Amino acid sequence: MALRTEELMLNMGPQHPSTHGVLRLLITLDGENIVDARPYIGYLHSSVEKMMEQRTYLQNVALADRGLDYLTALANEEAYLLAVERLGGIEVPPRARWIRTLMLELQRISSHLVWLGTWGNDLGATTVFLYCFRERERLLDLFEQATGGRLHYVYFRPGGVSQDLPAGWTDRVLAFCDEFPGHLQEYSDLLTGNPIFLARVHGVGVLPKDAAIGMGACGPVARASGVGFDVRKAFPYEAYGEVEFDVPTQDAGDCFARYLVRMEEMRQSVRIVRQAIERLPDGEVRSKVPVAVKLPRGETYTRTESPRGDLGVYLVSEGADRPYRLKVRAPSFANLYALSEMMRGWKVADVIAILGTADIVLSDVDR
Amino acid sequence: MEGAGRARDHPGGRTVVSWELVEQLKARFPEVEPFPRSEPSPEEEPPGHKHDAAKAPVRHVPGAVVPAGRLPEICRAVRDEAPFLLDYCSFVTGVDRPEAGQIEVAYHLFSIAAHHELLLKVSVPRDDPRIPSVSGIWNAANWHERETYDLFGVVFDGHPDLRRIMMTDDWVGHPLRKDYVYEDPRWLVDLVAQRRREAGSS
Repeated sequence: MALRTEELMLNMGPQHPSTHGVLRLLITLDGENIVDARPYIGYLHSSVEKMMEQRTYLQNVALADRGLDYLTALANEEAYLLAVERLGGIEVPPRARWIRTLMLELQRISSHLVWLGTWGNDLGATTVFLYCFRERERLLDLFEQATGGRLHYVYFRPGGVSQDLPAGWTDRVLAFCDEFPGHLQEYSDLLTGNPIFLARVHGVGVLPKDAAIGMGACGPVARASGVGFDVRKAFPYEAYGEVEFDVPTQDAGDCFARYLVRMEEMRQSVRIVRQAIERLPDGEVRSKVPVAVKLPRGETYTRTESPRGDLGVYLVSEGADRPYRLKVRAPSFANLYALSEMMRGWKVADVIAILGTADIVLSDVDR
Repeated sequence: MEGAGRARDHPGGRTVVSWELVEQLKARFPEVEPFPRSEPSPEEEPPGHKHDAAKAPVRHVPGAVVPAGRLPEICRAVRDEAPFLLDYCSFVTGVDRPEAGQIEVAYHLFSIAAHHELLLKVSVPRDDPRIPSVSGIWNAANWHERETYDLFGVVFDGHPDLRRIMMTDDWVGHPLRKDYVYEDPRWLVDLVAQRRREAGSS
């Protein structure tokens, strides 16, 4: 006699410790299997794009910093300023370009550390969480010494950066670079060699390559599915065209692959930081740009590789001192859409592990 | 770097925007209208030449205006046919132009393998903005179209699940339109009061 079963709707969020923000997932279950997972977003919507239309280009630097992804403030500033500088033909002195590259890579490491720590915490590996935040704290101190801010910096400005690096700062960064690979090995030993961790992530939450492209996934999520695309390589900006680094990819497309890609990205970031310090040119850190900068009529779309993926800014100018329309193409938004594809067919116990590897930040999704 | 200080030497993106793809699109579909380009283009300007944006807008994205009715057909072609092979939809969004009575819907398409891009634009009337959905062509467009519907009010015909995505389902108006009133909207105050009453009576 067949057992009569029916599907169960399980609601997760909007307040749930593992969504790291305010995300609501409506999961349809058949027994323990996930039939469908639908994200509901908008709980953190602050209409940054609307606010940007009412503020000047200089004021918007602070808004880009705070209004988008709160773990990668510098990457947001960079994406926004690239669009402004490109449309206005604004020059950035070489030293400022290298400082930006250096800062962006430190930001990538700090963002990935938060991801690794919180994801480890979600999986029950609290030790990793504490270790990651120990190293991130050092990075935040370095940011604070150079920019004055720990999370929100407003350090990049149209035409350069706001101030030069403090004396002795690069030596402290180099000291961090010397120690950090050893710490990465520590995390790796805690996780990669752990059978419980492997059982929870290996082969789980597969995103096939064609689905990754079709659903618009980007960044480490897409690279773990075999899409070898990195904006830093494809359309180099700042000093990325002049430094040597590899773009890690994996073909498996599972949670473990996404973990490996991000771990390797941190190693590559250390490489870039070293080269940037080695080759840091002397000179000005900011070109002369009027405070009330006006851009010519026109439009541009610039792309950057933020720690979460392909962060683009589509800027339409009507010749005023503020944007006519500014669209932020957020990487988390795209990766969250691909999440349902990763979850379908897995067990309800895998939800947290899969959600963690998408590495979404809800302020980036909702904007 | 020689001639530093001008847009073409700025390390943001490629040095020269390639309009070749737009010309190929025009050859394939004569009804598309390539964006007006400034001559010389900003990248090819001789040193000291000041670009006159009043004559033609500065464009750093190659693209064309597409008639709304032909959109699905053209989109399918640029996804599947060489030399386009644009398999990746970066975003769909709107630009409100109240003085023209139009909303421009912009589609940014990109090829992962060939690294080239195309910006397609469609103008729809503001009072009845309807346009065929491309979410069946690029799955990624699904949420972007929902966002454009939510914030601009553009209706995408044939979209499988056209609901608001950022705002609540009972929200009134479309926030990214230029004439949207956002200071203390009366209807919202009333709605909150009504919800309070409902919560109190239960």
